[in-house]
Amino acid sequence: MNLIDDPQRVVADLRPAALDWLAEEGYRRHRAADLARVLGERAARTPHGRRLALAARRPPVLLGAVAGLAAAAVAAAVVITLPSSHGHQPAGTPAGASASGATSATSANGSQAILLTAAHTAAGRPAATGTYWYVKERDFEPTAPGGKGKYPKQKAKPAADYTAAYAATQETWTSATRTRTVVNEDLVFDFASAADRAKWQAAGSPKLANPAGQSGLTGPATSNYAFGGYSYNIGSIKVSLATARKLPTTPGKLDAMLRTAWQRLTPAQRQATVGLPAPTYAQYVFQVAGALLTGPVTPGTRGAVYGLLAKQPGLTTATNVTDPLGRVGTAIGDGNGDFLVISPATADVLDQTTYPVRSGATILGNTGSGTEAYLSLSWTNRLP
Amino acid sequence: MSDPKQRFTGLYDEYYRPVLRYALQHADQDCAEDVASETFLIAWRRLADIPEPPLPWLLGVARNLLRQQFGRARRQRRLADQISALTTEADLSAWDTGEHVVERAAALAALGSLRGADVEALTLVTWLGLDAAEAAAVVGCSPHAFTARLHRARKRLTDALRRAEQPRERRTPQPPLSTSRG
Repeated sequence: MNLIDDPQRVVADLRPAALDWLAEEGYRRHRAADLARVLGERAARTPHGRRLALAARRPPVLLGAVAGLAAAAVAAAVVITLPSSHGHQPAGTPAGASASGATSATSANGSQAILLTAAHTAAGRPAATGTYWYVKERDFEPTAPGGKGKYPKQKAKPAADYTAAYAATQETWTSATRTRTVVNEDLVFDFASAADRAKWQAAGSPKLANPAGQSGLTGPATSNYAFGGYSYNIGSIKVSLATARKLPTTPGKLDAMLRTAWQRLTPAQRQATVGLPAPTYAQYVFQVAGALLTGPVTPGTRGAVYGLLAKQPGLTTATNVTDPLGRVGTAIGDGNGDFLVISPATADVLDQTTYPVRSGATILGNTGSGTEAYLSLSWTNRLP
Repeated sequence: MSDPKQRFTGLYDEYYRPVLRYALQHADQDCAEDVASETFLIAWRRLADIPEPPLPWLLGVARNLLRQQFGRARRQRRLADQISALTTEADLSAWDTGEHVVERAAALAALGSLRGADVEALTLVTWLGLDAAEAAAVVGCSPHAFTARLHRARKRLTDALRRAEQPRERRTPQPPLSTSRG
């Protein structure tokens, strides 16, 4: 047969054999380091193990995938992790507060009342829908000097003797078939104190890692993906944009669903899901609640989440908490260092944080804690 | 539910090489290896979302990394150039001049004359063995649209090969790679 009649055969025959051995060589050279980097990053990325557990329950959208920069950005969204340093005292922890529990001025009955009020408020909010689930958040994350080059071989390591943090905004539009992310907007670096800044300067002012990885990019980075970006697993139940709207709208039915999922998890899976060794069901509920309350669920489901939280033992609340954006809310804690800050007026989630929250406290964004401050959790039909 | 580490390791072992081969089509070795590694870093962080089969998803991530990176730097290599850079004597001798109507260099020039989207369609199917639905997932279009794109690419390559064939008798022999377009 004349090969001009079979152009794909021509293309096939033009394929250089070197592709195969280069790929094999690259595989052999990179395998150990890549696996170590990926599977070991939980311990290396942040000094606060619970931070990762908190991040794990966020809606796993795919963030900025500009080459080399997807790294740190995506990490914030979808790391499934085990606790690496539970109980670690983050830098900047206020005196008298522990990383493993808030100082709460609210009694158990008071906490229950707050949560039941939130349940009522959330369920009464107007239902909305749209093509895209739009999340805009300002992230405050501890950081450290990064590597050099486009694609650093090592993740940022926690700074040894000073505490640095960055603040950056990211936006995500997620439909059933498309995802757009913009990360690294309005990037700002800060230090826990003037002394920390001085130590950094004394160390030669090394470049600090940011949401764009260590690529050198300091401006916004936009990525578009040809697939939908929202997915959250509750045990074997995969919550997508479509199924998120069909989740239970009563605490009892939601409880039944979560208990089934919980009972099917192995101890290792429970630990990985919650980010605590031998977690309790209440801690699992808190974990799932964070994802659902910041996800594309109906007002009825949000109400059910708060109602279910009200039944869980061991949760704490702290009132008059000011977030890094100056907004005042009520913090709900899992008793192990994770907090949701909600608006008393709307029951919307304002923040997820590992900052050791107390009643009347202001959450600082320049410490060793991590905070995601939500500016939008809403539906839209427009992709700008 | 399988252990995430085991699943990830399995994905890495099975698909790192095809992902790197894909990246090598568009970038030099160092950059391609970085893109492959970065692709799997993202894969780990999105492990629960990776569909079956995983390869189109992985290639889509790698493709986006390459596009974003080179979109800024404008240093992405054309495939024809990359083929030239990777071609060895073994490839040259493997070209069956009795079977092929055109010289290898002319065939490469013909391929290099196509638009990037056409070349991509042809190589996704021919070099990576994807079917239309899988390739469509990589480039972000419908299977129907991809099939149409592939058909057009085949047609354009056939036309380019015919143009390369016609003056063949009048041409003097060329160095094997001298006609690749940059």
